[in-house]
Amino acid sequence: MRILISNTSDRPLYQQIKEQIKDAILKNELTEGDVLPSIRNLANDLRVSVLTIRRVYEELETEGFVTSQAGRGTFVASGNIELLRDSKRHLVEQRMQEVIDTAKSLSISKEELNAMIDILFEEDK
Amino acid sequence: MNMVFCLVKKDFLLVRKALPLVLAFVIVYPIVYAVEFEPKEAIESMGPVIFGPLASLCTFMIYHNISLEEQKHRGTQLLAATPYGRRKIVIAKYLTLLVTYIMIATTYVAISRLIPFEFPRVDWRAVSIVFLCLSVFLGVYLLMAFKFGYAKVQVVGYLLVFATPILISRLKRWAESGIISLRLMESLSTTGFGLTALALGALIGMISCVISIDIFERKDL
Amino acid sequence: MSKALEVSNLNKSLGGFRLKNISFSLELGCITGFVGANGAGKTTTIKLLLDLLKKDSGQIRYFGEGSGADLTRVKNRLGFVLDEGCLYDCLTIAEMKNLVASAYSDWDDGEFRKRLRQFSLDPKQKITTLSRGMRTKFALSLALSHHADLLIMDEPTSGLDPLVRSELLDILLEYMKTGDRCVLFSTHIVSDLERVADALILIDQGEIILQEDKDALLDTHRIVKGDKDKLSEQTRALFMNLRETDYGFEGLTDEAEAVQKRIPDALIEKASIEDIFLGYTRRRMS
Repeated sequence: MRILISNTSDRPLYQQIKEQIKDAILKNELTEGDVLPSIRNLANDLRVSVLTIRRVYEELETEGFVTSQAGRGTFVASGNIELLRDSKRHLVEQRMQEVIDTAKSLSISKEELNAMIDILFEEDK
Repeated sequence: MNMVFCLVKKDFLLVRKALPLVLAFVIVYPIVYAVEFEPKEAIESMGPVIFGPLASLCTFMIYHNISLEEQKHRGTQLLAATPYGRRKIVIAKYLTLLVTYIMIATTYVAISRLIPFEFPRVDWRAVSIVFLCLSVFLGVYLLMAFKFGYAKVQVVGYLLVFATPILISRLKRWAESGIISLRLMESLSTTGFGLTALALGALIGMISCVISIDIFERKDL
Repeated sequence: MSKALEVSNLNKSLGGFRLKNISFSLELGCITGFVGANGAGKTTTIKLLLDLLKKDSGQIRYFGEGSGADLTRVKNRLGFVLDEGCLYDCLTIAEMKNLVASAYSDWDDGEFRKRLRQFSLDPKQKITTLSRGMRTKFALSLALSHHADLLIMDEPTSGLDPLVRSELLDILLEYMKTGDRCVLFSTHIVSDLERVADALILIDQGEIILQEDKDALLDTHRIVKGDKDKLSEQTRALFMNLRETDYGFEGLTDEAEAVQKRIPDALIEKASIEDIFLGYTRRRMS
């Protein structure tokens, strides 16, 4: 798993880390039952506070991505349909983000982009 | 008990350089005195006059040296923060002084036994009377040291140390001129009086120790 | 998450100095940095925690126990490194160790020997011959050899060269890997905190002015630079401190969004721990 923290990003540290762990789970780099590093180890390696990692794990747990077992560690949760659907959705979102970024760089407006998507959608039918 | 023993051992480690010197002094001083002093027949009765100030001074010197080391490195702070606790630190200090006096007295008595010629000899009764005196003096001194810190009472100590030689020579002159009747001293050194002095000394030491504990428990280090 | 230490409304007058209503707590699993200028009250606080000073009022609760908890039991779970070491210089390492070891019910001599080897210290060495860094390492070895749950250190890194300092910080991180442990260390070296601290407590003139998760602090605070003309009564209130020159202003804020709205062309950058530390202390000075 790769986690990179950007110092120039305006997004809070815990969000950056959480998103990247989520990505790893959704991209199947981490699979069901895999154990996540201990809070302390991950904090040391990323040079962030354990409080940050603790928050990341807690939020991942409430969102259903991981389960934590007292004394044993934190594991990637057993896959449920909801999660899977979510993950597919996430992939689409990611692609769309790329499309939007490219569009922006070419100064294609939102309306134009929507029209393009509409056309592509229609063609498929 | 083992913990207190370790603290006493620490005190002696702190003065391991000074201790042999002090004991050597305890041996050499009365010998020199015995060799120099005239008339020879009076020497034997001078025991308490020599031993009393000598033993007091030496016990005090050891205590002074330990306290200086403690003050320099502030080791007491470290110990007080460990599970040793302050009570044991105080008890150990009193025990250290007791052991010091016993060592000095034993050395002196042993020398008395070994020397074949005239010597200012003492018996256990004189040792217990000096013990009582020391117990009163150090009992008060330690109390003040625990209350105000050693640095502040040090001045008093220095004065006493400087006063000792004068005291010894004065005592000697009195003894020689008969102002202190040696017979009186002899009559004082009965078994009953010796035992009472021993018991009283121990009691005073213990009372002083209890008060010191109370003071030290509440002190800012 | 349970607390290793809770301090509430602690007061202490010492000479001309006063510690005013100090309250803070230490979470298990965290390294907490205790920051403040010289004379701010760090050592006084730590001495109160270690029972070296007697509090005037307030509460100190260790490991969730009542304030009347058995002090000896608490001290057995506590490791500490004092500012000046407070070691007996004329003893050897082994002698000093024996003295300290017999105080603890759970002394681990194997652990101690391991530490000595790690730090290349010779037990026969006299303490007086040790360099400042070696003294600290030795003091740390003493503190870490009785399975302490909470480690309290007063300025352990001051006077050490960067290499030894970094080594020391690594040891702290390693110490934290086992179980629910906790470290409180005072320092005025900000880079130490950046490297290892999880939470920060900022003390100034005998008062705690900030206790916060370090990353949250970094996430919420920003340094703003901009044109001096844009400062108004309203915008000034958004800053902890402001430095104004002929060319512009620079200030610390925890309301970056509000600043952005009011002064759209301002430069907004991430703040360092040092910026935050100075920002909060200067605010109180003005």
